[in-house]
Amino acid sequence: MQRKSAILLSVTSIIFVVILFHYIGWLSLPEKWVRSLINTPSSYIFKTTNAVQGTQTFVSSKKELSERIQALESQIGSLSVDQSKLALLEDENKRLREQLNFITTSSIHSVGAEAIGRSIDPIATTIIINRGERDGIREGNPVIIGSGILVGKVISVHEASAIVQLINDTQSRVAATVLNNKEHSLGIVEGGFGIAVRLKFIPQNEEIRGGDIITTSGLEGNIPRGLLIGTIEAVERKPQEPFQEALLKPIYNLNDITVVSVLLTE
Amino acid sequence: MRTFLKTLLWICITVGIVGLHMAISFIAPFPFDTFNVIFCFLVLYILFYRSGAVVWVSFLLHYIIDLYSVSTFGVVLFAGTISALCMYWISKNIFANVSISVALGLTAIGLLLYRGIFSALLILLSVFGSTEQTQLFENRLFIIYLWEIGITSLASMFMYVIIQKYVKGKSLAL
Repeated sequence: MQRKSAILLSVTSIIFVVILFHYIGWLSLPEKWVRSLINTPSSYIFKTTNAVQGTQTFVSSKKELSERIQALESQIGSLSVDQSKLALLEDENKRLREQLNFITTSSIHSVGAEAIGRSIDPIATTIIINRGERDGIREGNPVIIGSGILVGKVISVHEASAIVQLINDTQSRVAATVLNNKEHSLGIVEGGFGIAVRLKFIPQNEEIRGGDIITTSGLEGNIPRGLLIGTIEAVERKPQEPFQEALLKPIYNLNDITVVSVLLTE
Repeated sequence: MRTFLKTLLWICITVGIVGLHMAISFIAPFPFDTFNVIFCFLVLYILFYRSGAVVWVSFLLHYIIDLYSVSTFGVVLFAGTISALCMYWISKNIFANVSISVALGLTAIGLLLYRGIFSALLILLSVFGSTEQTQLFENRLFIIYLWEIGITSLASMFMYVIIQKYVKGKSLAL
């Protein structure tokens, strides 16, 4: 029994010494070698997986295919309407700023990156990208797709890679606003185990509806205002609760991320 | 020269096991993506080599995995190494023989210990403000852990049968 305790104590001590060396930075060189050894095959496997999964759309019958096509056509129609509404809002915004003599600058630089892996932890929904500290990326930087669809933020940075927490991760919290309701309600977008994305803490007296567009509110230091997050799919109101919640549908399929941009915000 | 080749072989095996673990989590659909290749390898190592070196093999494998984990560095490393140590002691002192049921039981116990220590450390760290794990006790997470234990245990059992019968050529003990 004494021998077992001694073994347990020595193993634990060695683990703590290694953890200490990691945080001091003495292990950064071997860790860099290990990452470069693992990242290359991981990137290849991840891209192959995405290429295979991306071509698969399972349809069980002609009727289902026809229904899907109809739903997509209807979605295209409503997205076109939303696009014109957005254009009107942009125009109004521009005129108001000109009137108030605001100086608007869009000086946020960005870095393009490829996704080379996905989380292997069941408690996290993250992706690994092939850009890191040496490219100017810092913790908290927002990660977008296209010209402004928020998919996550950087939570861990290494020299040549970084880990991005997706918006549907359980620990993800993003300050958001409802773009097209009267009150421009403010709330928090929270993820749930890589499946759900919810908008929370909307006061009961503010009206939100299915189809409303959710964007970032700009109230978080690192994340600029106006990045698209998703649209409201369903609203949940419980009379006894002070806040209502909404289930969101992300604009982009978060299981199909291959190329992203990291906004290098301060 | 022999030591150098042996070390090189172990590096290749380590990278291979980690690569396979990651590949399965990327490629396989749920619930098969919960298959823990590392624990399956550790159990087979204990059953066929009966050596305490399994602790250091586990240390190396979980160190690499911890570099890619989002939890605080050290959590996966500590949980993985200590659970490997406990599995070795259990196989030596409790499951004195080597059989299919031992493969099944050892994997299940090892993973239970691993997830238990992992969760306990995360809770401890959240108490000290180092991390937020507010939804550690969600049903979905327990379901994922159960699938992991079930699939990995069955895989260990299956791999033990294959190795025992076709590689080692011995008759099976139940």
